[in-house]
Parts: sequence; structure tokens; C-alpha cells
Amino acid sequence: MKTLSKTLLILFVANILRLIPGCCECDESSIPFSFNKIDITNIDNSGDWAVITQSDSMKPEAVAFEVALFDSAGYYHLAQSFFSTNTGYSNATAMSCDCSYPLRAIQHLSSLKITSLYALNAQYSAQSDVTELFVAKLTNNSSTGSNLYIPLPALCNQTQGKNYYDSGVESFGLYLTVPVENSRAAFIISAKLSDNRILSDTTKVITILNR
Amino acid sequence: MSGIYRQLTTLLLIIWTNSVIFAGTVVPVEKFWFGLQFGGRIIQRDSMHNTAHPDFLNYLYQAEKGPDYGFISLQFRLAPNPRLEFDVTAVMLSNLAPNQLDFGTRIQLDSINSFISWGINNSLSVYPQYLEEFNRFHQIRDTGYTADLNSNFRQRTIFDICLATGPYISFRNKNLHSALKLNAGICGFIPFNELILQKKTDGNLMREINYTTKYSPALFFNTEAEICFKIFSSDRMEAGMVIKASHLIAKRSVNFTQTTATWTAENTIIENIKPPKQSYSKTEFQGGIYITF
Repeated sequence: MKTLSKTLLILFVANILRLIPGCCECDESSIPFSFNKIDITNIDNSGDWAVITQSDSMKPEAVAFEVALFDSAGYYHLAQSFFSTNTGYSNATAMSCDCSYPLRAIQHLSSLKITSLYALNAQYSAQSDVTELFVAKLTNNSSTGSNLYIPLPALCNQTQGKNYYDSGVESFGLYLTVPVENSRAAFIISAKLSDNRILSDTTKVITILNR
Repeated sequence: MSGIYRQLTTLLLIIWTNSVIFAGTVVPVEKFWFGLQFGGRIIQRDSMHNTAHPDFLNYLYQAEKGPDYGFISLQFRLAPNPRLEFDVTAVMLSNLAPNQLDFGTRIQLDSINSFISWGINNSLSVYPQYLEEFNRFHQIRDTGYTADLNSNFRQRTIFDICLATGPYISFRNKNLHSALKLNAGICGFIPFNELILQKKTDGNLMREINYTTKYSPALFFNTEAEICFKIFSSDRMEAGMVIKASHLIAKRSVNFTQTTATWTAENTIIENIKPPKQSYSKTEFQGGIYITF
């Protein structure tokens, strides 16, 4: 019996020691950053699932793009400046937790505007605003859980107060809901931010197949 | 689901009332019965033509030959006195999970002579069966689409819950004991959800179809026969072989709500679907050993 109680005591002490470094707090801080760059790539959505492609040709009913908003300067310098705020003696870190600090954009996405450079069909001529013809799908870890698309206003709303845990990139797919009745297509995609800045880029000229 | 609870409450009240009335009228001689049986189950239903909407009964599992399901059943009976009997049966399919439970009571009302008696029996049964590849409906109908983006084999277990009551007649002599039951009751599948996600071939269009079934009760009739042959007996116990067979018939359907969202969740159409009722039957046969003490 003595052997059992001694064994239990040793195990108890060992677990208490293990528990101490386990009890630490991570603060709720996030690292601020700013969206200052927009990037557009083509999506091949002719198959079952959307994939990024380098091809400049698309099916008339499968015109889609992936858009990414991010900080062009990178994020390491932000993390560095965040952690260097401690002055004097800093806390010992040997037993501290490995806390992750999410990124949070200073501004959010207010609206999107998409302009077609070529005529889409008889109704939508060149240089017309075709924003209402697009729906979106989130491509980062902020997925809504639904497999369907979301309207563009909903896409913008979900960026408010958003924490970015993996990377400070707001990426989403934009999918055209009407078939293109032209042999070529290209769009200007403008993202208006909450600080009234507008990030804008133009897609490559897309060759529409089977036309 | 409130219908299920109401029916359960009614059945339990019937069982309790009958037990109170008849349980105390004879000298209690408690008897315990345990049986281990192996058997097969055949499910048959009329197959309906595909219409604008699927009929889930068309996709109940059916084996190409032989019984659709093989099973092992463990049956426990407790007879507090010769006139009252409680019965619990756990049934395992090929996965050996005890996911079927039957509860029953048998109350003897009268004896015609020393060999023949009759009474009322009540039962509650919840049994599983497989619903599989219902997405074939979409694969046939929805050409021009990837009819189901879920490439896994679509099989799910659905449970049929049955409440029944009816008369029985029992024959007993020195080495043989048999019973014939005629039951009527209500059965219905416990509601379930299924989701189909579709995408247009060479297109961006996506469509999500969500099926939410409703509890759709149906009247059924069930006959059941049981024969026990005594092989060994002593002062304290008795053992033997048991053979059982039962047949259930019903006209039933699985009603459901179909929610179809196209492009976005905001663009949704909701339809309440009531497929026509189909003939449905469940036949079981089983045999094994029993021991009473």
C-alpha cells in the first residue's frame, strides 16, 4: 500500500509540475495592418471545383476570378514592431505560451465595383457596370459554411472587425452569373475601403471558348 | 415529432392500465425468459416512377438475392405472473450494433381451457434500415449538371418507429408452446435531412437542394407467430428451441420539404412534397434457442 501511495504522490507532483507551464494567458491583442494592394488571378471553374489557373481562356458560363487584398509590404515588420513595445525588463519567455496574434485590418471592405471592358451581351455593353452580375465565394479560412455563393454586399460585411489568423489576406472568388456572348472579356475590379481608398486592378483579357 | 410522443404516451398508458388491472389477480410466480435468435428480414415496397421529386421509399436498401438484412436478436422476457409478460428485444444487424429495440407487454385475459388462452399484446418497435443512393434520382434527371458534388457512397440509416396493439391466442402443452398475434398500429420513419449540392457543367451555376423529411404516420397490420419446443426441463429451468415469423403490411409515404437554393442562400424556393402512398411490407423469420428460469 505504501508503494502505491508513493507512486501516486510522485505522479501527482509530476502532473502539478506539468500543469504550471500549462497555465498561462494569451492576451486578446491583434496586429494591425492595412490593405494596400489588390491582386487578381483567373479561376478555372469548368470542372466540379474551382481551381486557380494561368490560362486566359474560359467557358462562357464559367467566367471567374480570384481577388486578394493584402498588405504589399508584408507582415513580418508589423509583428516585429508589435512585440518590441515592451521596454525595460521584459517578461521571461522560457515558460510562456506560444500565443498567436491574429492580424486585423485597419480598414474593411466597403463595396466592390466591377466594370466590363467588353460587351457581355446585348444588355451589357462595353464599359458598363456589371457588379450586380457577380456573386462571391470566400476562399480563405472565413468560409461561411455554405457551399453556395454569397452576394457582394454580404462579402463586404464579413470583413468588418475581422481577424485574420493564417494570413492578412482577404481573398475571395468572383463568379459571373450570366453567360458571356462575346469572344473576349475583361473587367476592372475596384474595391472601396472604409477609409475611402479604392484599390483597383484589371483582369487579363479572357478568350471565351466555344464562340 | 410531437405525434410520436403522443402515441408513446398513449401506448405507455395502455400498458400501465392493463398491468394494474390484471397484474395482481393471480398468485405471482416470476419467470425469466432469455432467447438468442438468428434471422432474416425482407423489405418490399412498390417502386414508383421518377416524378419531379424523389420518393425516398424507392431507395430503401434491397439485396439482390436472399433476405435484405440478417440479424441476431437477444430477447428478454419477464413474467411477474402467468397472466402478465414484459418483453424487451435488442436486435443487431451485420454491424453488430444493437440499434433496434422492441418493447412489448402481453396480458392474458381469459383461458378457453388448460391448453388455450388469449389476451392482448402491445408493442413498441424501432428498427433500422438503409436508405442508399437516392442521389441516383438527380443523376438521371439533372443532365447538364454534376448532379451530386458529394462523391461518397450515399447511404444512411433511417429508423422506423411502430406502435401496435392487438389480440393474441396462445396454445400450450407439455412440450410445445405457441402464440399467434394479430396487431394493428401506426408506423412512421423518424425524420432526417439530406443535402444535394449541384454545379452546372462548364458553368458557375450552383444549386443546393435540402430535403427535410416529415414524420408521416401510416396504419399497418402485423401478424406474428411463435413456436417454442421444449428440449430440456428441470425443476428450476427449461430450455428449448424457438421459431418466429412475422409479416407487416402498410400503405405509406415519406413526405418532405424540399428547399432549393440557386446561386445564393437568399434565392430559395421551398416546396412541401407529398409523394403517393406505396405498398410496403416487412417479413421476418428467425430461429434460435431459449432458456427460462
